Amino acid sequence: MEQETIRRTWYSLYVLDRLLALQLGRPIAIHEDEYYVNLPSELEGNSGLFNGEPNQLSSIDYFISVINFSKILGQVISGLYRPSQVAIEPEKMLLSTTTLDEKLMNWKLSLPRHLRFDLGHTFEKSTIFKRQVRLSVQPLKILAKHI
Amino acid sequence: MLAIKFHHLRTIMHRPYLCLAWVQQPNRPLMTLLERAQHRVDSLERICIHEAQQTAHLLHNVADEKSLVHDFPWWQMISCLLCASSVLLVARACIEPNRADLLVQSQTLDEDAETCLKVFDALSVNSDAARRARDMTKGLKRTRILPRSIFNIPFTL
Repeated sequence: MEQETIRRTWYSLYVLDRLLALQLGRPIAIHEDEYYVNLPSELEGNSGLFNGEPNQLSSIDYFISVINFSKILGQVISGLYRPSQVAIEPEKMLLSTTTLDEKLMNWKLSLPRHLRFDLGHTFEKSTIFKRQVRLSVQPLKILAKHI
Repeated sequence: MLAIKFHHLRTIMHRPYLCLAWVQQPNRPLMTLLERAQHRVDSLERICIHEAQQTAHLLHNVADEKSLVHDFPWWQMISCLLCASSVLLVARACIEPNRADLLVQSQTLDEDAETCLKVFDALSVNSDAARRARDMTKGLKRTRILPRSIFNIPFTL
């Protein structure tokens, strides 16, 4: 349990680092090659956030999706938004954009079905939206409970 | 929220190609690239604009300020919407006003930017950041770039 708490703390900071870098236009502080931490996993006895519902939606699915998204986000900031003094070759920039876009599209396609926002179940859409907002704070809530 | 994050990141990823011919005229290497790979650059620019529109469309059905604040993390929304609205308005500003064939496109961009503006308005009651975003967007809305055929440099009115 303690290790899991530490993992979640680490990845919460990781996600925030990427988010703040994007929102404030600052460089990222946590570099991929400077840490090795396993991804968070479902806590025992907390297997489903929406226990009793048919799909047993899990908060950890959302958290892991956001972590994977943040990895691509970090690559976009480092690869395409370097300081202006460091010139990027136009050809390289074109290639980087294409490569990063492929990664982002693959991220979307690999989302668990209940998090896929592009599927045509319009009736569910707003519900999914609301759940995702709640899920976005869930890892930290779980974390706070155990600190 | 994943949808907003996705469309926002995809907009940002393709933003360097937005109105490249206008904003990067002094940058020779980029202009050379533009000449060599014009179709590719045009398609990346279209993706940028499309994703900004998708961000705005997600907010079409938000009923009021209460549901906006309750259902979305507003502190993330403001920067996402500011990015989307600025992309939409810059794209619109680069459309030559006398091009009748692009009139519908120009109006669509305007309407989508207006959606973002409404959200800023709704949030500005309790948020200084939203108020500033609204004022910046309104300022950008008044910006027009004269047709390239008349002057070869962009400027604002």
